Amino acid sequence: MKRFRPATCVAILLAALITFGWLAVPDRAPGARPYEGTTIRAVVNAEYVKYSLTLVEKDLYDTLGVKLETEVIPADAFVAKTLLEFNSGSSPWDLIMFGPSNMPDYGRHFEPLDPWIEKMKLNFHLDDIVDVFRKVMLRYNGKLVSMPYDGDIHIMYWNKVAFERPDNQKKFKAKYGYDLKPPKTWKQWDDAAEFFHGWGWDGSPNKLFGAGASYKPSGSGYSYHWWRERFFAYGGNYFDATMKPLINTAAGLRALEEMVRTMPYYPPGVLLFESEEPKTMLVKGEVPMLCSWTSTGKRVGNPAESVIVGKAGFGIVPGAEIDGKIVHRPPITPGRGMAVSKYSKKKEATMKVLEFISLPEQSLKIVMDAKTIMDPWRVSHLRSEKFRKLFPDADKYLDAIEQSFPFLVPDPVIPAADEYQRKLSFEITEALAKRKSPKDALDTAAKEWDKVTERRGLEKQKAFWGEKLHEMKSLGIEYRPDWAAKAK
Amino acid sequence: MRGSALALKRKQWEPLAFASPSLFLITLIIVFPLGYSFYLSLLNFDLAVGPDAEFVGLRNYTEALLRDERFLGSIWNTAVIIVPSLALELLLGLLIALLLSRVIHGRPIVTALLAIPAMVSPVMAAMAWRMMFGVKFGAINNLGRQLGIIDVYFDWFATPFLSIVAVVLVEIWHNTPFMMLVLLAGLQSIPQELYQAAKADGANAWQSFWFVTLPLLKFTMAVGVMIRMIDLTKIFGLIFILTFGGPGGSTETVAFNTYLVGFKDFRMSYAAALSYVIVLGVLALTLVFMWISRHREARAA
Repeated sequence: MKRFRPATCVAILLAALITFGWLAVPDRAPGARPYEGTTIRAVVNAEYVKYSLTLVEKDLYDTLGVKLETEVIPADAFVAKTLLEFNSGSSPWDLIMFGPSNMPDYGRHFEPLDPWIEKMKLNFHLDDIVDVFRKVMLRYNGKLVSMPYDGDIHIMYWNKVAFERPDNQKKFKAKYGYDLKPPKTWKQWDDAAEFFHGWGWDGSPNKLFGAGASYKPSGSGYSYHWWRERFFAYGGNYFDATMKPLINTAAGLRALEEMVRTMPYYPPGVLLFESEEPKTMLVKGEVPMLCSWTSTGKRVGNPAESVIVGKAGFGIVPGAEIDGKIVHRPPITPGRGMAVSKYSKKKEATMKVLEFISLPEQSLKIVMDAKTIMDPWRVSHLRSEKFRKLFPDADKYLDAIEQSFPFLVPDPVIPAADEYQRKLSFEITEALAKRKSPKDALDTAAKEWDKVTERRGLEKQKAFWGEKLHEMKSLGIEYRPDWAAKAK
Repeated sequence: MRGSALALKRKQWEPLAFASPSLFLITLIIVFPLGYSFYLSLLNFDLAVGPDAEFVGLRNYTEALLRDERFLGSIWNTAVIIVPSLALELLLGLLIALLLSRVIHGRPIVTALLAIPAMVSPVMAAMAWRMMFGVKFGAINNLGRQLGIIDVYFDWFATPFLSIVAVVLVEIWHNTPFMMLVLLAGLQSIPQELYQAAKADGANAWQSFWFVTLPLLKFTMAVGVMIRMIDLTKIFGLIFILTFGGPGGSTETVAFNTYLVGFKDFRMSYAAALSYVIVLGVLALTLVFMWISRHREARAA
């Protein structure tokens, strides 16, 4: 009996260890991978968005047992194809990426989140979402239907070399009568663009350019973003309460006239630039300043491609000086959201997936990776120590984003929002290409807006816009007809 | 009597039975989409609004032809691209075909090499040329700088005029080989005896070309021009990649405008109506062209 005692003890100990070990391994724990064998189909509009989901895929599988199958429909056909599916009353996808300005056209196809939050005790950490995104990006008919995925806004970037070289400062002061500093107003921006254009402001013999922008026409709406950051600073708004377009008022005209007048200070090709060309010119040191998407900051800080790592400044986009105070109106441009399809047959699992990818720590992985082009949308993203040390001056970059949030201007998020934007964008590029005068272009755009309103139904549009007008008021944005003349 | 009646009936339905698989396919893939899109063009179906649509009759057509300034502008833009492209493709194609017809050794190889651009898809051609037209690093600007003609920062898409020039240049590069092949085939079908007879009558090379080659090549030229005209009316891939209709709307063609209306504004019914307007326009152009050709032939006869 005595002979067997140690062996028995060892055996019991081993058995206990194995049992404990088995229970301790997270993926074997009871209750883990509750959706093992489930595949969720997601649809996104670009390869880099698909890539962003791969960053959380492993953890998603380890935690929920869910596999993601992501389909990419190119951006140019994305809305048309997805809406076609939804309008047939079905959808091959469970999880949908969408542009928040399309919410009025998509919203009815999304599953409301609140009942599921209650039923499944989901936690979307709503309090951690940046206030302005929570207000304007998540709801349809008052119901919570989506979560942000990409917090796109414009901020201003500048090359410190251009602004801090004593020689440049001396020349600028002599020419314009005030100190060369990163612009706070559009007037200062235009002066700086004129000053820097056409010579080696970095001390090189190279021919460099005044500023960067993206003015690609028609389907994309790029020029519209650059126009409205001036337009709103000059007191503009999209419509009045009766849906009369206000884009061709003095504010709109001033904004467009300035853009047309300063066209020579932008790089050749700017009329067909999409988002990435001016970003490349900034990180290669060819333009001294650029108002661009927040994702640009991660390219600025990437030493593999950027020659301005540690030499870049970050700030809020310029505004207008009104009665001694500077009014900034950076745009939301326009971001991305994620929602669960109303037609999904796996709603419960998809809700868990949406909750998982939106978790502060998971979404942080996505917004920190430069290759995703996704931007921060949670307060915790901005405060993350890891993010704030991602590259030299990353903290200043995140502070500039945070500084912009209280002043953000949303798109006109009403039915046919995209169409309104594209009609306006087209006319802006018509003026930039000098095919029309700014006044003609904006008058034509206003007429086109009236046609869209008439087609979609004046009363219906008015009702939607009434809500948005209220929302914008709560953000401090109102039509100020006197500002265009006052603005300095 | 009964037997012969049956045979007669069989004679009537037999061809139909044999043709029925093809007829079924044609109905399925040609007649049905055409019919359905025409029906769609009479509604106000908007993808963003939902599946419900109302019958609006010809309202979409009247809007396109009377009120849509942008669409009417795109007709003009298309014409501005078509006319120089067609003229230069025809001239260059004819020139190359004439030169090739004189090549005795290695003609198939030279012809195949010259035809390469026509084998490239419009999207690929546009991508390649977009890079070649590029500012600073583009091959054309760098070559231009070495020759002392242009700066590396020359922007080929800076103005509407330059953009149209760029589009026409790419179009010519891409499709002249097609014209060349068609005309070369036409040239080779002209009997050599006619040239010998002209020579015997004392005609010089120019007279032979003017009085023998050109009259006999007219029909081939007309066919080539017609095919290219129909093709050019639908120009899309090149515009999509090269200019996206810009700067402004200067290179927005009818096909590109229709794409924007359908796939960006989601106005499917209106886009269907625009497509029908384009089809009818091309049909009208083709008929006019054919009528002129026949009229001239008749007058010449």
